[in-house]
Amino acid sequence: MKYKIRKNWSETFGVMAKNPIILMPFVLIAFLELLALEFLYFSSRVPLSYIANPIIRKFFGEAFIHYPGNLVVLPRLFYYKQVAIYVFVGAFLTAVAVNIFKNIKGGLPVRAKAMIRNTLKSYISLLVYAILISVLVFFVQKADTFVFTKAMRLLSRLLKISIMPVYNIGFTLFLFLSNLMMQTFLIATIPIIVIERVSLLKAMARSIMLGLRNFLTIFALIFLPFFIYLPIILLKSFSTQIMDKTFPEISLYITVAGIVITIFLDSFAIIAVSQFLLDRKKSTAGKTA
Amino acid sequence: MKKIIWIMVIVLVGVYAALATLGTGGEYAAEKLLYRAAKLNEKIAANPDVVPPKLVDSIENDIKKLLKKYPDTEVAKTANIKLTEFYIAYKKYDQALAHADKMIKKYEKNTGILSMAYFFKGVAYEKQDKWQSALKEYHLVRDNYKDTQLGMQMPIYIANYYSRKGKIAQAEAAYGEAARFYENIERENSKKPLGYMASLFLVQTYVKADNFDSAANVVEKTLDKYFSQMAVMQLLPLVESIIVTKLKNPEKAVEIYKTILAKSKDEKLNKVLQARVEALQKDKK
Repeated sequence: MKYKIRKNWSETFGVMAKNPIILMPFVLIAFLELLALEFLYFSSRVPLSYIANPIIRKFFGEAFIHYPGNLVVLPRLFYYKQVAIYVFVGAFLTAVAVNIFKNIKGGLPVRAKAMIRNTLKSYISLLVYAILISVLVFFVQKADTFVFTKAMRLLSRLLKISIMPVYNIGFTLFLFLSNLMMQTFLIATIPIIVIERVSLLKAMARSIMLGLRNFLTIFALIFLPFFIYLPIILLKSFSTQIMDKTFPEISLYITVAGIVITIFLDSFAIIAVSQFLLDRKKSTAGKTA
Repeated sequence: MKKIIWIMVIVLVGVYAALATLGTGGEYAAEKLLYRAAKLNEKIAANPDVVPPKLVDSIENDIKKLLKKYPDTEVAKTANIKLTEFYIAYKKYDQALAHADKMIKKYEKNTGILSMAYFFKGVAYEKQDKWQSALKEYHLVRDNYKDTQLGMQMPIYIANYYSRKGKIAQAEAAYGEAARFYENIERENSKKPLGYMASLFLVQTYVKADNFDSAANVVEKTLDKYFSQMAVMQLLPLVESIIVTKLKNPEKAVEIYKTILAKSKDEKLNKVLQARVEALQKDKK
């Protein structure tokens, strides 16, 4: 039977609008990220500079501890902190959000303490999953760079044109699509851990199988939120040029905008996939009955 | 939920306010001011003659504000240099000279800044066609700050001035003087970085004076005496342009390349050199 994506989106939106508590774990992630960003933004000034400057100088160079170099390196440093936040609390809080959603759909009460206690049982699985995803994202980026550069060089040689003007934008879009593909196979892992209460390996295997069997459906489901985030990704990849044409602090504003938008988009994507899982479960149960 | 969100907002605002207050003033604020002034200057530098005077004044005021507010920061050194450059660029020569004098007083122990301040004075005089006064300043830079980048550049700079103005005899004499200056520095600092730098300037001097035989000799000697990957990278183009192109002596170039091949452990470089040797030998046949 054909799955109705629009219906899923409207149901997801409806549940989130009626129960904004679902957003709370994502708000908490955003809060931690904003706090980390504040520390990074002020890391070139006293008193944080006493600790941060020697580290930044060692890994990035003298120019990046001074204005405006510190703002050039800010998005990169923030990315590292974001990965750390995701690994230690992000995946866990995402699972809490799925748990809240599951209880709302099941007509069960939503008690914060109980939700957290319940999800804490899967903390190690979620931590390992977050590490795996971060490593995977890193390797996908490396592989993308290799493949895209080779392909562009070949294209440039064949067509005898310079690809430099479109390289950056092309690479950003290529990376965006490959991340989307990767997410299509793995995004259901956390909802599966929470809803079906299975181990990490089983959840990952099921998520991959789900992605294989329903590739277009899941791809379409998560495409919208990912697509809305695309302008931020493009702004981030051109941040140095934008900084040069406008003012250096713009890199900070782009990062903040990215964090705020992510609250809604991440929650929408994960809840839409959870909704899909519940719908599937329901239809399988219906068929069996 | 609302209460938690409010607490988060208060924490974020509080941390921001605390860090902003603690970080007020100092290098960062000065760097920000200098960046703004430099950026504005960059925009109008393309066509300074058609820029409204108010805009020009705003750059000057920004830098002056920085120097007044943060006189002892590291950025103030750069700001002082930028302000003098700014005065020269906008033909405010009297102010440039006065500011250079201020720099000389303020940074009396900083040879890098001192050499720059005297050089700026020279440039300000030169731009006003007061060559003798300019020359006095350039000689001062050359004689007192020979271990700085500017001090090293002065002899060839002076000779180039005469050459540009078509004063052939004076240019020849100045190139001769420059060559002796660099030879002395090289001798006094043999096998040291300063000696190597002097050798590079000596090559430049001979090239500018159209004395390609001497330039080729210095290139060969420098490669032998200061052999390193960096020296090879800097001197190889000179072997091509001087020995192969100007002197039309590929045999000499091959001899030099073979010497490098015997010493170099850089496989990539050796491959390129080997190919070049073969190409030069093929051309000869």
